[in-house]
Amino acid sequence: MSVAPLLQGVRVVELGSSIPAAYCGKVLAELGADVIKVEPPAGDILREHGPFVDTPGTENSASFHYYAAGKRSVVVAPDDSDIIVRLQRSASVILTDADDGYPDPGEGWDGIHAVFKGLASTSRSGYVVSDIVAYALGGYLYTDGASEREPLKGGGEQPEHAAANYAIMAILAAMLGRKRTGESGRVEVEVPLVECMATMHWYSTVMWTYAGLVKQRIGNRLDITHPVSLYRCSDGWVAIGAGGNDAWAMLAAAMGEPDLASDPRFANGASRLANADEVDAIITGFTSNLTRREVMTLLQELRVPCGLVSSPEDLLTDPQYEARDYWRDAGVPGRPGVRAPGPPFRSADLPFESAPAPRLGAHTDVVLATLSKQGEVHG
Amino acid sequence: MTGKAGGSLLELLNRHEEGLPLNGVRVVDLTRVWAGPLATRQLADMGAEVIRVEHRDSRGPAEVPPDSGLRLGIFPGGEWRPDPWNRQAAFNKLNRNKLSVCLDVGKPEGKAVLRDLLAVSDVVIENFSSRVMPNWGLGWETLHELNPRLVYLSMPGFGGSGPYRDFVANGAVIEPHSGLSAFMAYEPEQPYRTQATFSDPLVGVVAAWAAVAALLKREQSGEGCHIDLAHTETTTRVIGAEIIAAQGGGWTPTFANRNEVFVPQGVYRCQGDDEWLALSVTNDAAWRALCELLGRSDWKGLDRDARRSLHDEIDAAITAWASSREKVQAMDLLQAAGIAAGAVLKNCDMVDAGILADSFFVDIEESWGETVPYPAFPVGISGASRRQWWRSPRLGEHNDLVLTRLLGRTEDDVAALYQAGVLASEPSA
Repeated sequence: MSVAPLLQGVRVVELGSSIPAAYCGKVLAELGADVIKVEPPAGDILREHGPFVDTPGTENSASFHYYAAGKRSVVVAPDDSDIIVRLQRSASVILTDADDGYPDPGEGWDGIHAVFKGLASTSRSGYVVSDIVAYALGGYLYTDGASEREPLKGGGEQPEHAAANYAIMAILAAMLGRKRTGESGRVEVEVPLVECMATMHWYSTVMWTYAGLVKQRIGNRLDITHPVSLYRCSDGWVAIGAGGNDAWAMLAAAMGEPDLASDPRFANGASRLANADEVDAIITGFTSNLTRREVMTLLQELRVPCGLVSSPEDLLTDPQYEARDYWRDAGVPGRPGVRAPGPPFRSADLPFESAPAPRLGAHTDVVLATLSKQGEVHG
Repeated sequence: MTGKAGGSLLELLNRHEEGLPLNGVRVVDLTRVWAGPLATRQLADMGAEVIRVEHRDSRGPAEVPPDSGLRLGIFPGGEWRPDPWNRQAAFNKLNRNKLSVCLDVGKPEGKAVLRDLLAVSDVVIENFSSRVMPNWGLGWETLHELNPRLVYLSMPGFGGSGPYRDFVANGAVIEPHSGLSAFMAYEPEQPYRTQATFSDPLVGVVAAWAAVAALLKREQSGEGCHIDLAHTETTTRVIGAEIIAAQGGGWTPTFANRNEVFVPQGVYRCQGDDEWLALSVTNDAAWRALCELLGRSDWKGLDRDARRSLHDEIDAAITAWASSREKVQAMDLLQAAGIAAGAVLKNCDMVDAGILADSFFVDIEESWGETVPYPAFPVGISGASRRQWWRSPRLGEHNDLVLTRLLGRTEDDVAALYQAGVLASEPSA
């Protein structure tokens, strides 16, 4: 017997065009919600946003194929308040970007309204926050990259994913709170991109508040122990996280140099950090003659944390992802073999659905035909 | 929420706040280090009663050895004495609003206490490698039989099935393996990883909403479920668009802080020691405004492709402009002209520069008497904002409360468990 999706029967109207709003809507669609992506006649901005499958074009944006997967597309002129309000009132969740000029759903609407914005701060709340600006203000950028070079932003749109996942958390929590208390009434959720990213730190801010230390940019190493870094192999790079004394002893054994574990220069995390260049030279001497998969297999057999530095091609052929049936059809028209990442977690009771992104305006007629003229509030 | 429970401990402690969305939800927190404790912290911030079950040595030793990396600036004022296990910055940041039971689950009496606790709880979360819970005799089938309404969330690095199910990992391994590091580089084939290991907090946030989703599902089905969250699979979703594009054959990634659509984009040196500004031109109007500021009216007509081919020259002009300016002033000037720009904040700036919202930090009085600012819960939920914040629990601080008030053990039982080393309140000697 198949389990019904969690959000079956829940309508979401997505008016925002930012990536946090889009990813939030994508996940709600995967969980079974009817997500209506409202697009201007020229199409959502993500349709022009790279990266592209082949050449740029409205139906060719990999970003749109990914972030709009499973949604329905309804084209509405941005100034058609009447239709927009009626759409909003048919939904139990609305996703918007701050200051996007859309009208309020009005009195009597008691759903969950999530607003995505750049900065929560009042004095600078109108600031334009692009991806790299969120890395900068969120405190990631300064500490990342090589100490002798300019700070380096992370891979992918990490701040946007931080914010989107916080939004999903807040929306589901609000739904649960209502279900359990029986209370109704509109809920406003405010999701600031910068502050969400600024929450994604381990010991950065507390290094300052506890000990007055400025967290520095130190490449791929870790501040508190070693070796935790990336190492070159014959065919690319591996990541090794052997900062603990036990893991270091096993790594030394794997390298055929078990005596390193008792060498006073490398006896504990602090001494290995003090001699990190030497440690790295030894490890690279070992890894550079082996392939990445050889290193990973050898180290994991001895329970030393190790993984590849994976390219998309590596991931698409990774035996673990394959065995867990991770990949989904990306739904790119005319490209049936193109795949996209599958669910963020597995549970027999929480199925994730996958469906292609819509063509521009594909569902305009069918959705608008069912809208109540009076703008009745959703059941 | 759980009928068998002996009432709310948060109410007994006068910590209950009306209106929080997870009020009445009890979570058993078996997690360690970073992603797991962040997941349960979010649940605690939203009102759940989170009970950490901790081994006495899980927070580190009673004495910090002089040559340990742990000495590095993570204790208040650099001072680890007298109780380093209660004074660790990262631990305290990640475990506020929770309760602590210090229990040796390796001993049969300890395991019995854990089973009793699981029987009256709504959620259990752990981030062990996938062998540990079954080895304790606490696999999903057992848990489900013990308490059919229990939600069980496990989060091994590579997932609980498949050829890598027993592989060990940490964030510094997961982020690169999931594909993020390949796109973090000054030039192709020279990968980097983030210092905060982004995969860890990402997984922490996703795990929190996964638990909430399972509780919502329980409202429909009446039963708890098992969630298997692979750090890798969650993290790879950050680069979904890149993975799709990479299969098209016609795409080349951009590196070194540049962007395909926002041209120019980069990180530029400002006045001062290692001070920087990030900037992206998100549309043609912003580009014309930037030309105005740079005094390069002759560049105003350049379209995106033209700007891309002149990127190095444009970068040099921006650096010449920025390098004589203080980073926050430069940001404010650029933003006033409608250009996306941000000062590259150091950890001290995040706390002190007044750029993040005031509400982003909350002051919490610590066990040694100082008040410390910590990042709060970053999302606003109307009518559900927490007003009071509680410091991270001392190791075993709530042993007696949980065992007597929740599990119905007598004071004699508790004393015997201390005697037998099943309960403790400090690390082993």
